[in-house]
Amino acid sequence: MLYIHAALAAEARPLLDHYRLRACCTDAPFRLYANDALRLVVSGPGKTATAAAIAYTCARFADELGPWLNVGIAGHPTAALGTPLWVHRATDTANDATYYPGIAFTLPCLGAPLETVDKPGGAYSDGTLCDMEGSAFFQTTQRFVAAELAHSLKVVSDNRILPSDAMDRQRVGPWVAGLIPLIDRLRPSLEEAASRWHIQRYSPAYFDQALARSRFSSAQQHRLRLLLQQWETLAPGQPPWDEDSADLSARQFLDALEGRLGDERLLPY
Amino acid sequence: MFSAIYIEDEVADHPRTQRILERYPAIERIRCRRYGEVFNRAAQNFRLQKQQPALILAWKHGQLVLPTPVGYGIGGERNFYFSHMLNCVYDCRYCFLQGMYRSAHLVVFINYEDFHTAIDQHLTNNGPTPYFFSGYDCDSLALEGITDFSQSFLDFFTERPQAMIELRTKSVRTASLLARRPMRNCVVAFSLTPAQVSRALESGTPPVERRIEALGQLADAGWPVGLRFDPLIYHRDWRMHYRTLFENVFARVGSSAIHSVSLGQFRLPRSMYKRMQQLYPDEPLFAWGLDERAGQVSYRHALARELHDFCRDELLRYIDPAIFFPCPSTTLEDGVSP
Repeated sequence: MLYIHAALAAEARPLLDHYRLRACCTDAPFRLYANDALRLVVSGPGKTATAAAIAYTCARFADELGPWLNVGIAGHPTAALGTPLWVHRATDTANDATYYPGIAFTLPCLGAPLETVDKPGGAYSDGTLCDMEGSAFFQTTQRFVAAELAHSLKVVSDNRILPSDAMDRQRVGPWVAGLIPLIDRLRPSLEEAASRWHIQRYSPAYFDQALARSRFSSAQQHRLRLLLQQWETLAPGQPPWDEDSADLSARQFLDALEGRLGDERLLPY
Repeated sequence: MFSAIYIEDEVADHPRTQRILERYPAIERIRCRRYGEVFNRAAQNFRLQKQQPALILAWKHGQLVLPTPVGYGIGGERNFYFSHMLNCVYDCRYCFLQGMYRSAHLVVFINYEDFHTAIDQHLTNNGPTPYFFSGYDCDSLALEGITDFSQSFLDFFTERPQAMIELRTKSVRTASLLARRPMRNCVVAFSLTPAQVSRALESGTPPVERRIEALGQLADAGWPVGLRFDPLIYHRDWRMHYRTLFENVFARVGSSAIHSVSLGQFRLPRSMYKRMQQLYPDEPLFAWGLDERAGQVSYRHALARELHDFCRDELLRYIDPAIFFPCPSTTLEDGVSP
């Protein structure tokens, strides 16, 4: 499941149309849209709204966490309007905190640093994008998913020649639509990375069944989880107990399972 | 290919940085104040970054040369290591670096001259020969084409014959060594495992037979070479595979060229093992036949002993015991394990 964050409805519209996303979760405090493989949340402008919308979405779909993409417009001192730029560093100008996405793929377009400001209309920094959400996007997503799974793709909407107060808002839709091929190009890499990340978080098979068979202390549950992961790796699909283990205590079961992990028949390679 | 190149502000104008950047005109360049901003941060995930790591060019501050852990050595009494790089281009599943850092990006410290100065501070004109190990946190030669590490450090050690340096590698990038006169005070040590283990666990490394050939070429050219069978991996038909590996190595490399041979157990500090197992819960290496003793996770005592003793006995058919250096491991201590 890919998650997209957009601050403005105008930024979200071309994505809703292209991916055929439908409104969902009408009880939510933010507008949420979804199809089978993608969810999009519209936060409203600013860092606080961004942090709240992402945190809400992650909490609501805690069992289905996935890669996040921030898509939106940004200013840049010199880049031509409509230029796509991948954010490789985001700085919150209010406190100088800096966030780096984990880049583990070749960028699909040129990259640029980003400064996130509290108020629009300030001066442009050399070679640097400017928005009102980016740092909060990274700060919040990195609390829920790995830094390699949260990225920001911007399209230049204003520059020194055509500043934001002169921006033609009708052009936001076509600009964002121009980002869709880049999103689609990166999507397999992000989803593959997410699948590796999920492997690290899964609960091994038979965990709940084992808990139902015996009383495990908290420490024993940790050991159980590790041993069952190891067992599943060595003997996928095979139950971790046999007929003789029905009456074993938790400790006896754990010791027996640990012993079986040295069975020559399971020797890898 | 690197996903990006991060450049510390401090090294941006350094000639070595510029030379490296010239090689990669198309890769995204990202400036940072200190490499710690992008390396080993809490939210980073080694396994995900390893898919396509970035290169980080940085300046090493603090202690540049450190004493090796007790028992780590190849015959010297004074042993030190230094790391001009952190992390490795290869992806060996047993490697402790996976548990050491959250980040798989490759850090190259470009202030080689500061390492030279730090090494000099450990040199004396008399007393035991100091040994300096360069491949502790990285592969010494794998990025040679980018870093020119060996050129810089071997020039330095050529003028300091009273000190030894070990380059430890799995790389077959030995052209820079073969192009110069062999040095009696430089040991080029290759890490070797049976081909079956290498294929399963050493992603991205040159095949073992090519490493043996590279070893042979260096030995023929007069370089002292080291053989590092570390870690020993328990696997199907391991006796036959290790015996074959030793046969192949000693058929190509004459014993007179061999400076030292070491054997090492598969062993990890508990905390490191835990991080690695969490990164790769689907990896059989972290699942089969392991035990924890004295804070170290390794093969169960009987397995480790069997593996070690077999390999030791086989190796001693080929080499003088005086050049044999088994690495210490609590796993092998009698009476510790049941």
